[in-house]
Amino acid sequence: MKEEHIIKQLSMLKNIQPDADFARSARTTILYRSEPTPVRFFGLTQSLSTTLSIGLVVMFFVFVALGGVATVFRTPLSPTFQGVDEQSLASEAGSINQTIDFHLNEVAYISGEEENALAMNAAPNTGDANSDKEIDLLLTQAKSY
Amino acid sequence: MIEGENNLVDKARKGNSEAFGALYDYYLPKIYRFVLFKVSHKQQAEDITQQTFMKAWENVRTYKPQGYTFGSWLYRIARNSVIDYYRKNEPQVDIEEVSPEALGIDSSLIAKLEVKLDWEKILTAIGGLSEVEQDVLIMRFVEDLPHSDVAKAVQKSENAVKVIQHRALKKLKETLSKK
Repeated sequence: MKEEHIIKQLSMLKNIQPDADFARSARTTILYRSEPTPVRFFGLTQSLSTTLSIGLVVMFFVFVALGGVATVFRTPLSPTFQGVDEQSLASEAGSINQTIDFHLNEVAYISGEEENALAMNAAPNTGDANSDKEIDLLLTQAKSY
Repeated sequence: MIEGENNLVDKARKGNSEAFGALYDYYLPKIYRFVLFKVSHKQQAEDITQQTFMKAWENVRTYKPQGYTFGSWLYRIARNSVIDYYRKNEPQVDIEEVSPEALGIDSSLIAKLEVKLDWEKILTAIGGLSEVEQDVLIMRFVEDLPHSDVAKAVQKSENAVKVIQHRALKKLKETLSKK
């Protein structure tokens, strides 16, 4: 079949017409049961949908920037970095606590000893006081002679 | 293009139903034929054609000429309506359904054709082309649209439309030669 023949056959198809009853009923349905959407409403819906789309995109990027799903499901006590063993961290923290307690006890003990020493120094020497009284007494006796 | 189309479009955009009615009367057969060859079913073609004009009327205020005709805009809506239709419904076209009688084509028109078999063969062969090839062939040779309007309707460049047209005719010729 030649190309010209095909084109001729195709051009004959333009004689096809829609059914007259269909054309009439569709015309009535379209023109009298619907009306054009107001431009203002169209513009409003367009701007609302645009704003919503931009908002969703921004929220998505913020979500990704904050760490995504891993951050949402992380508990406050969870390690910051993934892949860190919680048990080893807890035992390490425990041993550090023990060391700190030990040093605190030592400090407390040393400071207690120093306080005792100060208290000893600050306490009145009764022996010396007695000897002073004896000297005073002897001096008094010597003067009386 | 209908005489005084720009004026009618302006009135239709302002909500004048009479003006849109005049555009409907002029474009209905064209859009109907375009859809009919795409879906190969009279009832479906009527439903999709009505849907196309309904969408056009509801959104006529958003139509901006910007270098392409009202007709190109309608063809574009029709194309999208056919795509939507196929998205929702599986295409079920039987070879028998493609016959002119099944399409609701007037028997007097069939009599005008040189060989009836050619008609059926061509309709079947068109069905085997890609969507855009069908669109270009129908718009160019059935509706006699210029390349520029076809390009606007299928959202491609004029050169691309010429290439598609050449390829589609070649395919059609090969398919028809095999039978």
